[in-house]
Amino acid sequence: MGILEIIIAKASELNVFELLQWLPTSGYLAKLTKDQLKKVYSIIRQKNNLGKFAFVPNAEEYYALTKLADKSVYRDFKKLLKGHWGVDVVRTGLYILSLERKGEIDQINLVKQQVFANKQVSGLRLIGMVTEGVIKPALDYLKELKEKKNFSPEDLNKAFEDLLNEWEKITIFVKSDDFVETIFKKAKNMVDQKKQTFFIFAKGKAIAVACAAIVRLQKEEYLLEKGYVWFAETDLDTTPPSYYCAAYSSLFLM
Amino acid sequence: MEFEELDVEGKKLLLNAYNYEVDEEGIIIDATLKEPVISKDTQQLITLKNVSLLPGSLNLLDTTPLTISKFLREKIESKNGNP
Repeated sequence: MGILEIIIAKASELNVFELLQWLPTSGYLAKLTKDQLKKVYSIIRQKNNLGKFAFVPNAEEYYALTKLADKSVYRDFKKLLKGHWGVDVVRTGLYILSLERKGEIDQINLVKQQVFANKQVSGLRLIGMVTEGVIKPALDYLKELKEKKNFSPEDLNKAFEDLLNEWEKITIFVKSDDFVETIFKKAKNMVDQKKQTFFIFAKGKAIAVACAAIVRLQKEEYLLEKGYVWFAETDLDTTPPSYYCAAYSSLFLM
Repeated sequence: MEFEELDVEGKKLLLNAYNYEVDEEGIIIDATLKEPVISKDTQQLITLKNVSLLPGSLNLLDTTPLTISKFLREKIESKNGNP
């Protein structure tokens, strides 16, 4: 049996992944004529075109990103903002969150650089919304607009772009040594400035302060009178939660 | 679809089968055009180290979480009824 026949016989028993592992170590490739090599390439293409395998630098990364399609934030974003440029950025942001939990700082910085290179500042802003947990209440707010104000897909996209451009300016970042009263006053200030939406965000020990401030705000009828409704998001993947984010939106100011 | 990691020789062999070569710096070259392959997504040269070799004839992806996300959404999830 000639070398080509040996390869053909062996290839019939192997899938493309096994074939690509076996062939280079077999010692046969260097002995093939040009025409025989073309035949081997044809066999490889036939097997690869079955589409069963993708050959990737880091399979774990692919599987991790595949699983993130099940996250409600990703699903809601795709559903509410059909065709939005940021859909892949949202999944990338969720991936960065998983890297944060593992403390992989260098990898996080690299991914952010890649997002910036491709989607510029808007991409990084969207990453921030995802990693800070602002995205979930923001999407809840969009759902309200869709259901109660009959916003069209175009209107929803516009509302989201406005939020994206402004979210850092309309977020009260709570620190663990903040007074509840300070947060309360900052929130009232947002209302007095007629901010349609604002966020209260806290991480770690500051979560307790943020929650106390929100309890205080809920008791205050001032917000209710101005038509503000409330959405909250907490990180359910960690115990205790690593962040907490509340959004107040006025349906009167639309 | 299964995601697998191939060694350098396996990747080169698959690339050769689709008429690509790899230069001494690890940059993938279109053997017909005699030109380096540039990613449409990242506008970067695609290297052997960072390439994903994806089925559908052979698609070369400059691998980042963002490009992977796009690939999964467009080529995998849309076929599963989740566009």
